[in-house]
Amino acid sequence: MSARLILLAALISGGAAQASAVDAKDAAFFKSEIRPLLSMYCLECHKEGKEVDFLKIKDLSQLHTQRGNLRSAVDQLRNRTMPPPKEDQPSEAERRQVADWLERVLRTTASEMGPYAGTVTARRLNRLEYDNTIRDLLGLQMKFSKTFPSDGGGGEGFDNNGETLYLPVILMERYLDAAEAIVDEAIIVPETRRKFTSADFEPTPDAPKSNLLKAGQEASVFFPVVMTAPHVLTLKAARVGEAEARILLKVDGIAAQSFVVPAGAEKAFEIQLRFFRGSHRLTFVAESGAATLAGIELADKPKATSPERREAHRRLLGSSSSASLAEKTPAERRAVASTLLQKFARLAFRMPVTEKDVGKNLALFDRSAARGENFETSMKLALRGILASPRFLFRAEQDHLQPGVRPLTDHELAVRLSYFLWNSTPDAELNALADAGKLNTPATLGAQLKRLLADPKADSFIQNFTEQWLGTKAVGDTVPLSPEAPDSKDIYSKEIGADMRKEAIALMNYLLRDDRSLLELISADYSFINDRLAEYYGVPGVKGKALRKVTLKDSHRGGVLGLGAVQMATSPGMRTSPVLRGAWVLTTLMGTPVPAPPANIPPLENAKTGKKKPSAFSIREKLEIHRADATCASCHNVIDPIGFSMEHFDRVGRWRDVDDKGKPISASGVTASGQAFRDLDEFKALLLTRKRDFARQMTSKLLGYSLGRSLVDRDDGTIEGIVDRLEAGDYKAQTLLREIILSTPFRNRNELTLVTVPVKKPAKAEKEAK
Amino acid sequence: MLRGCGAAMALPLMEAMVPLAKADQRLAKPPLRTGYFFMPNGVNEKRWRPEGNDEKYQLSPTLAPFKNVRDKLIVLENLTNQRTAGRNGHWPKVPAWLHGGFVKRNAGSDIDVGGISADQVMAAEIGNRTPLPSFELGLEPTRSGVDNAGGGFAMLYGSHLAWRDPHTPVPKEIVPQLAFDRLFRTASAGPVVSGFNPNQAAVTNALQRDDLSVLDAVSEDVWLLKGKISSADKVKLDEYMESVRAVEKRIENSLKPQKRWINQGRFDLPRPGPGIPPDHREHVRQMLDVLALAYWSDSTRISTFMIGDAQSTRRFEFLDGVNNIWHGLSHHHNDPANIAQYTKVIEWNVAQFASFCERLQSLKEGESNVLENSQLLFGCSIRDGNKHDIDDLPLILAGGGAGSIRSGRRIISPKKTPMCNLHMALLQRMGIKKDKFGDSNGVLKLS
Repeated sequence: MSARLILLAALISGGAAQASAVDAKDAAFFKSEIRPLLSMYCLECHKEGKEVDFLKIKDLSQLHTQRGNLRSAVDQLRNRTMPPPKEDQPSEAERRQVADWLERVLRTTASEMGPYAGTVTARRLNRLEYDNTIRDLLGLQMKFSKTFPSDGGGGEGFDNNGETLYLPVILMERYLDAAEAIVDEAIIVPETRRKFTSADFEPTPDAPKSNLLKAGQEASVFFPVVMTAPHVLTLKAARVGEAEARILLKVDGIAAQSFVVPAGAEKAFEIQLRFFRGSHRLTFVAESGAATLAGIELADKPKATSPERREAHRRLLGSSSSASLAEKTPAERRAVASTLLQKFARLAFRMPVTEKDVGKNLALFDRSAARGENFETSMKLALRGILASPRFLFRAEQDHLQPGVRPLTDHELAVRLSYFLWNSTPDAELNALADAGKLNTPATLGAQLKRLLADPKADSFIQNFTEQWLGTKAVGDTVPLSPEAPDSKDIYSKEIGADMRKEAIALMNYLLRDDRSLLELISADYSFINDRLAEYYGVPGVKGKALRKVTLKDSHRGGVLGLGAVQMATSPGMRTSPVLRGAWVLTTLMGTPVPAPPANIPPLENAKTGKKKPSAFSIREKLEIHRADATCASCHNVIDPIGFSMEHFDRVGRWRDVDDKGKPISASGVTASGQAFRDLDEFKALLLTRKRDFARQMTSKLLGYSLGRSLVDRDDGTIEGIVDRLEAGDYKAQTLLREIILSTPFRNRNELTLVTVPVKKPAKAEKEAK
Repeated sequence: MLRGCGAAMALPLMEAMVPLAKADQRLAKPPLRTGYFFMPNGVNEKRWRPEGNDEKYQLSPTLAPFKNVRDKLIVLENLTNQRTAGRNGHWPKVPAWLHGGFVKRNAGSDIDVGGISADQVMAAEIGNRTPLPSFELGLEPTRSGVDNAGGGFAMLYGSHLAWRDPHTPVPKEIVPQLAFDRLFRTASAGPVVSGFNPNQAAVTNALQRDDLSVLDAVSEDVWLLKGKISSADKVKLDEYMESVRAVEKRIENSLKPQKRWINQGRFDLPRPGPGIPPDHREHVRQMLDVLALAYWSDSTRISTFMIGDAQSTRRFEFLDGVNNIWHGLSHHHNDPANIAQYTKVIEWNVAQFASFCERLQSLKEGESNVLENSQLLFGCSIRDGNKHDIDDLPLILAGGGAGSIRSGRRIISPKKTPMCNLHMALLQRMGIKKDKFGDSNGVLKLS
């Protein structure tokens, strides 16, 4: 993994070392507060001359020389990986103060470093992208990826993140299988029918010389099957002699069926078999008696054709078929194959190709044709080579081997755009724009954004982004029944969970497609519910199964904080968790990282408070006891009050006025900065005083999703710029999408290393010779 | 008309799959298998710890299902993974379970678990002796996303026991049919049959090598791409190439005889139906059946099995009185009603493993049986699900280690003995020589 290290080193150190134009107040604070703290806990190991010597900066104007190390210091403080365990530890308050302050200064000065694009790792298609891509290439709706291991997410928290899209061995096996399944589905091959006579019996010493099988004799036939499919074996058998004739049929040496041939006239038998692609042997054994076997025929049963299959077939082979090419010479057939393969490779590889690009696929075609297989079958093998190719499976962008920012090619940009908004491959219009070199202008990109967003294919982007950002993807899969309310089984159902998930998606869908203000994610006085969810939430007067926009009388259900899916996602246990809910608001909605909890915290239940039993305390009281400890308080004073603003929602997302113990709910609190709120509505109003923080978080998440990579220090310059324009543009949702698409990182690449690796082909293994 | 034998390929497949091995291609004695079985969310410690010392130990209530294989069981105590302390109760503790490393808190840009899992260390060294170098099984799909509220860990950490290097997890198969087919993957390239018809050998050979020629073609594409892309991308393409090579190797291995252990007799296991059985009990049974078949047929000697992923939210609705989800129950807040449900869930899962051990014991091989020739570690990465404590991990070892393990006892190690000392002992038995593994400071004595 040495390449990984090189890359990281480049990420951390890149950039010029000009003086930073930090404001005087920050410069002074650094000198008076921050640097002394860093010196106290870090200087010994990080002073000038040490390997990591970030404390050689005495003055904040030198910030840019140590950005990477300072960013790492922020992360390490929050991770508790520094200072090392055996050294003196900062207090919790100091830890947070230094990390938060440094992060803010780094963020606000990032743009001083100039434009930054970053490098997106070659990303393999994730499962959704794979299926959508096949759908759009061939018109086949089947979920071919269902056998693939599920994709873990990473980076900004999404499953399209290049770094965490691994390619384990098992997936490579499945890619080969899927490629075979796809061509089997897409290409309609004429039925093959194979007849066997006694001349085909394998010439073993005991084999019958005619079609008469005597007691104890075995007759075998051996044959290749080119397509995994159900087969029908038909034959006619007649008994010879008095003894009962019992014939055993073996498939590949394994006893499969036995059947009795009755006395009298010849009897027809029909046997269903399923063969994998490969060569197989059928053996007839006369276990007792003797019989003649005639008319042995094995036919594969090709899948029924359908309009969908015919369309896929047409897209791949046009009107060419073994029948239409019957009169042609092999060379002419090969030329047709080459043209067809180039046409498909252009679409599958998402860039122009030449004859050379399909050379090895043509070799696969030849290989099959040389075995005497028909044109369709030979094309299938060649197409498998395209579908298993890294050029199809990965979205790789070309390196320009020069330092600095480089615009993507129009084809690369078309790919980024379509996989961002459709999780799929570019369509004809995007391809045409890219071919003509006309895509990369703000006006065209803006128009394409509108077109792509309006297309139903963008549903998958909205669902995917929303569910992964809010963490509501798996909500309701397993239902925590309420022990305190045995009837909750009747109240809650999986359908409610599904409705809740859809509610979250519908909200985001409305904001994006109707170009609403993103602040409505917090402030909305409406939600998208149906009759079932309305009843569950206690909203009167909603009829019908489809989710619709309902304006609410009181606003606590509006926005993401009112989503049942969010309430459930943050309640894994048997009660609500104000801590998890508070942390959710901070990290998911406001982009405020919460430090990892220190080791060995006693459970809340162990809180010792006089004689009262722990179970007698309400969750609010327990957390108050917890916060009495100064170490805990430094974080929990920030987290817990926020969580309490949502206490009116129980752990399955219903509204309630009393808690599990029958005590009235209080949703009031005081934020760490001293602002009091009485209920959720007042808390939302407080959140709306921090519009920029929210907009920054939304921007980061969507930018990370669109790029499929983790964001780094220097991306902050891009993000702050977008937030400025959002602020100026009333936080309109499409402004955000547009700004992302027009941003430097979306339209460009930075090359991080200048190492040219000589292209050398591996020595051709002589597999055929073996 | 005769009953269809669509399952013919699936039934007693062994005869076809394992070419009639010549005597000198068979191993003289059965091989040792290593299996790791991870259970999430901890145990009810009051019902876990047995009474009585050494061989005189009595099965605790949780371990009672082992009554028929008690003599093949070791209860391991005071083992710990100290580098997983704090930070989060679940995510970092899973990948570290099999190597004891420090797992970076990370959202995914630079996943780092601080070690290579013991099973993958074995697979890298001796995996080439069987068709499958190692076999990863589980019951729940990988979780995606980042647990922001829980400390900022990528949740994929909690779904992977097996790591082929500190940055690359090995995913698990959760669909019984796919797991079954994986054992016999070469079937799709044609089963290996003996006695080729000379007239058809060329066709047969070519068909079987089609996958190889496809892989050949795609390798050329890698080289074409490689000339044009940055080194970050090359890391990803190298990963692709490594997997291509591994599949090639597997196909090539299947085309030539390997020196394997061949069990006599039949192992009747119908090919499971598609998808995940809706009844969880059936799902577990099928997956364990496939694993038993994998051991029995010597398709692999190294396996991991995740009985659940970290923070599993499964609800065991078929257990009487259980109405909450697993992870929710593990946060029992010392409430007796919760603990009762929690205990039921744990003990049901332990019982599944116990009956798996019984099954292996019933599979004879030569003079002994599959359980005797196995070393199977079962346990958790935390003790009490409510406390997430790591100083005395609940661990049991089943199997005779092919005669190398003195089983049927309780081993109480000194407090805070690294769990890696146990890994050392298991690695050694698989023929892997190491002076140190993870934070080991010795080798746990099992003989």
